[in-house]
Amino acid sequence: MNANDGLASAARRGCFELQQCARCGAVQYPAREACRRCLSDDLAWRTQSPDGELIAETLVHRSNDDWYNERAPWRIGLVRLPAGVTLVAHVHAACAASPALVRVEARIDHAGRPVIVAFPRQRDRDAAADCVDWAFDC
Amino acid sequence: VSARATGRGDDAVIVSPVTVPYVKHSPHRPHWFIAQALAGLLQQTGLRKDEIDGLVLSSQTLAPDKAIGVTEHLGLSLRYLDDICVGGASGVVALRRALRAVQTGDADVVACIGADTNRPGSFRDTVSEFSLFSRDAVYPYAAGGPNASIALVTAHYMRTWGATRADLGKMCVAQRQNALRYPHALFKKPMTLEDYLSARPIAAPIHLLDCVMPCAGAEAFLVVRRDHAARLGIPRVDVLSSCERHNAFPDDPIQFRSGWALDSDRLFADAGLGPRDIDFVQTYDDYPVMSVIQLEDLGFCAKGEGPDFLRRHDFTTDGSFPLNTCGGQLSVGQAGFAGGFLGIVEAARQLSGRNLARPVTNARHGIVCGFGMITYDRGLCSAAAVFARGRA
Repeated sequence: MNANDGLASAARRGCFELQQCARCGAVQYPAREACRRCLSDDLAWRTQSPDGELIAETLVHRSNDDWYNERAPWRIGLVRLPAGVTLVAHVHAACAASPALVRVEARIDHAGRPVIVAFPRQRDRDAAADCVDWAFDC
Repeated sequence: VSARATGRGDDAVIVSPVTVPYVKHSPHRPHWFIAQALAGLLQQTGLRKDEIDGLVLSSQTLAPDKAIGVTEHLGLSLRYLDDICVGGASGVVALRRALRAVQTGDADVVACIGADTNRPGSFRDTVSEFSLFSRDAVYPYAAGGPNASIALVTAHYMRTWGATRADLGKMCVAQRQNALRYPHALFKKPMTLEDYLSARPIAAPIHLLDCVMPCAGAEAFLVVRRDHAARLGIPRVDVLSSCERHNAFPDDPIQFRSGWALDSDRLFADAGLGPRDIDFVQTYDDYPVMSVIQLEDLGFCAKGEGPDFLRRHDFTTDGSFPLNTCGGQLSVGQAGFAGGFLGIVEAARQLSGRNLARPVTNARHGIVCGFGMITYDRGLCSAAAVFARGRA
């Protein structure tokens, strides 16, 4: 089993789960084989609060993957969760400029990989409609 | 309290700075560049090949070989071998391993070599499989590579401490001016601030002239005992102190400092010097923001005062704060892991009268930094060393 399979399986269920240490409670990201705090290997995929802060963002104009070059510029950012982890994330166009409050979801991307997407915390009808155009399964 | 060892060179010293000229692409394997580097070391010192009994090698394009394969490939029989894979920190870390080996007598003559080749498209392959975390949790996010990762660090730094693109550009323009006097720089045309500001965006706020050009080449030096250098009749450079740190500040939400912030007091104390005694600095300039973070963490200015420091100083070799006196990686090119050796070789030239770039007037002390391995969202490895001109 790959480390990211848990993220993918939760994404398919519409859930946001990250590994969490059963012994000390530390949340882990990216997915790994042992706890970054206590080295326990008892890491379970647990639902996490999706509320975080977009602490930095960039527009990628030049990608090493042509799928993105065809869609450039592409907005990504770093989302900090109160659980003490920083996530690299796709950033939805409706999000305010960083620093901004966001809510993350796990999605499956065009290549079948699980990814994190940041949305505005308050998703109004317009943003929800906008989401239909989002590149990934919505 | 542990009896922590110092990072001083003591009787172990640096001699013989060598550069194998850079090319953008090469059909050769890194072994070719390593061989050229070794030949240069022998030519400069008069040593025979069989007198080299230690090798500390750093290369990211050696596969399927490791350093041991190079010993057979080039006919070296050694008592000491090390393979350093900490990216842009590899140069300073290699130096520290070599100093210890010579101090303890594990080897007498240690060649430290950073060498990499570059083929069209090979950088893309490096990015997609750089680390487990980057493969799973960075590459799927628009595959911007280190440009995108440092764009996030740069955006955060600029917003938090009020740096502008023009502030960072001033440093890049000065480095290009320095590079115009250095024969091995790949960039040979003058650059204006307007050129910098109008460059095309790569990953905002990173634009083209914030990025190093991947290329092929090698940097090398020898570590020997002080009396050995004297017998060879060649100038030496002393290492007054050094440090390395890996995965510092793991709880910082985003990178705005690295291990130098933990180590700089000790670095200067061991050297018996303060920031004012330093005549030049060779930062690890993979991106301009990292140079600013290094200057802050090393105490040349306080955290957050980087923008003001950039505005106050002239970073050309003749300026108020000589920085990256051969042009740095931003103007010379980044030959893979050799990029972490570039500052050491340039500093050694400045302090041993073997200048290829313009000399810093009356330079006695310099600092060299290394920084590397963005395996997820930040560079993990930081290193630095304080050098002094060797006195008879």
